[in-house]
Amino acid sequence: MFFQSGGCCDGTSPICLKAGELPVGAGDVLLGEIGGASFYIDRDQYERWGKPEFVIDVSPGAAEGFSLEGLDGVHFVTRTPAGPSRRSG
Amino acid sequence: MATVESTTYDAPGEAGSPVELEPRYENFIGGRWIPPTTGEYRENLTPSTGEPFCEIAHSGDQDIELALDAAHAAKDEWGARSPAERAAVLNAVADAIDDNLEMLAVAESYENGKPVRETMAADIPLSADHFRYFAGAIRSEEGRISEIDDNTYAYHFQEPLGVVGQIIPFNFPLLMAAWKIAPALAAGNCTVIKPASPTPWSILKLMEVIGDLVPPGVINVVNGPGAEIGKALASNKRIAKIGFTGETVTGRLIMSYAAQNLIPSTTELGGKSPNIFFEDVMAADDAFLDKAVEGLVLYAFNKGEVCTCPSRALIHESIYDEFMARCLDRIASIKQGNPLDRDTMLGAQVSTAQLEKIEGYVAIGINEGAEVLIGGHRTPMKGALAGGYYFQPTVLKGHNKMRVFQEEIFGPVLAVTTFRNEAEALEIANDTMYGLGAGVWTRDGSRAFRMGRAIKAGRVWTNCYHQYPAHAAFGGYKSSGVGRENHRMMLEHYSQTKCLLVSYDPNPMGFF
Repeated sequence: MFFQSGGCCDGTSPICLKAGELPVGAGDVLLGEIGGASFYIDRDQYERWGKPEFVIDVSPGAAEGFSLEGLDGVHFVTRTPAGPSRRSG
Repeated sequence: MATVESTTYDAPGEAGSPVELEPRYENFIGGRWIPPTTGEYRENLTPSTGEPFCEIAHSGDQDIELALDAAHAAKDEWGARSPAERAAVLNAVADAIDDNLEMLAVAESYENGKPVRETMAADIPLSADHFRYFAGAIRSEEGRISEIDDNTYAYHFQEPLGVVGQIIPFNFPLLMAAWKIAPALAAGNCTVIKPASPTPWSILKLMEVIGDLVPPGVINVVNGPGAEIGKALASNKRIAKIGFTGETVTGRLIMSYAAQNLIPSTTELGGKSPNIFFEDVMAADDAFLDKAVEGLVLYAFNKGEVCTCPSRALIHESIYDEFMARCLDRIASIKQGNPLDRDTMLGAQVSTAQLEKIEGYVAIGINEGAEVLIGGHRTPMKGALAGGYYFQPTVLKGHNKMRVFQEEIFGPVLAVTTFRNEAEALEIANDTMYGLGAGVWTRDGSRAFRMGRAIKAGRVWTNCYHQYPAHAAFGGYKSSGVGRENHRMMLEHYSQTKCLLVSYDPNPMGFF
């Protein structure tokens, strides 16, 4: 499973965890699946970010936190494609 | 110094450096250097050049167990030491840090990429003072007595938890270690620490300095991947508490592990701190105005890698043009360069991943319509620094609904906007999921107090910013975490209350 993180050191990273490792709460939104793995984000965070499109990519450099790709020399990264935001306000 | 004229420290390991460097570093467990059970090591990079400079243990679950063995073996003796004896150890640690100020400052700068003038003036002296503060705090702790009636008394004692786990971030590797270790030890606990993966080394230099001053097993440091040993520590049945500083998802994960084991946790998570400048800051062209300008530019302190980075500047619309012009002049004069140069004001971001993230956020800001007032790009460097992770001090002008105003960028990127009146300033300040820090700048004391009380954040700097003295509580409102570090109240988070309920009445209760 993936959880989009926020704040502090690894804040913008999608954290990759074993399925079920982090209990999903009522305040979380399921945004989609990546290779069968669910991708969640906190609802408040998602709305504050303007409900953007996310593209999950892999980039050189070790992951820095609890994410499962660990220190393999690459880390997952959340990108937002260029283009008009879907924000209404 | 390489030469008398040079303002740049030689890199650790070079002949003129105050820092000795080994090719490889093991874990510090039970007062000794222990190779990882995995037999594996990984390269550790310096952000200043992007080049590896030593190897660090790449530990596994078994190394956490070894560290916990050592901590449990030490906890009864350490917990039974008198407050005076524990305080003496903490004071000795503080003295050793002071005695090694330059060595630790250079090591920390090289490890993290932060300017050595900051580590010399802030990180290392504050670390020493933090141990000294908790040495004093534990000496002055008192239990409470409740008089239930004239024959019945409740005596309350604070007792150690035992063995605690602590996971620290990369932005202040030594100071955050001090924030975690000092209260834990003062309260009579032993600790197992997992440093952040990008900054595993400087704390080992600290252990070289203080390792002999602390009984074996009281402080244990294990390096390795967060996904493996971070989890092995945080979810371990043999810790009595977990302390964490980092991002929100791992914060939730930590609290979830703590819930599974029914143990307490403290978490210090992110922020998107507003820094508010009222129109009266420009009422005179004086030292206070100069201080306020510096207060805005403090977003570049520690290259913006601070959970309380004042990353949202809210400026009254009537002074925006003139005040911002002064600030942009000051930002343009920031000297960026080799972190080990004592003249450098802005160093290198901690990793290539962070650098890429910052770049991505600037692009998101521009895409959302933010105006780049200064900076906006990686800083091209020459020579050995060309491979380092340098980003220009950047200011984006926009509005608070933009993502660059809502999400913590953790880089030298300021989002600036204007407000019309106090009510709007407050509304914008509180329109965030975080609540760690805030700044208020005004010559009007009543307004400063009103704003300070109304802002939903754990720390409101008033006519100052980025001061972190021990004895001033630090922690988050809202999604910025649970707990208050940097103050004696942290002792309560590292102890448990024992109530002895004592009857001096010779007579039975009369039930049976």
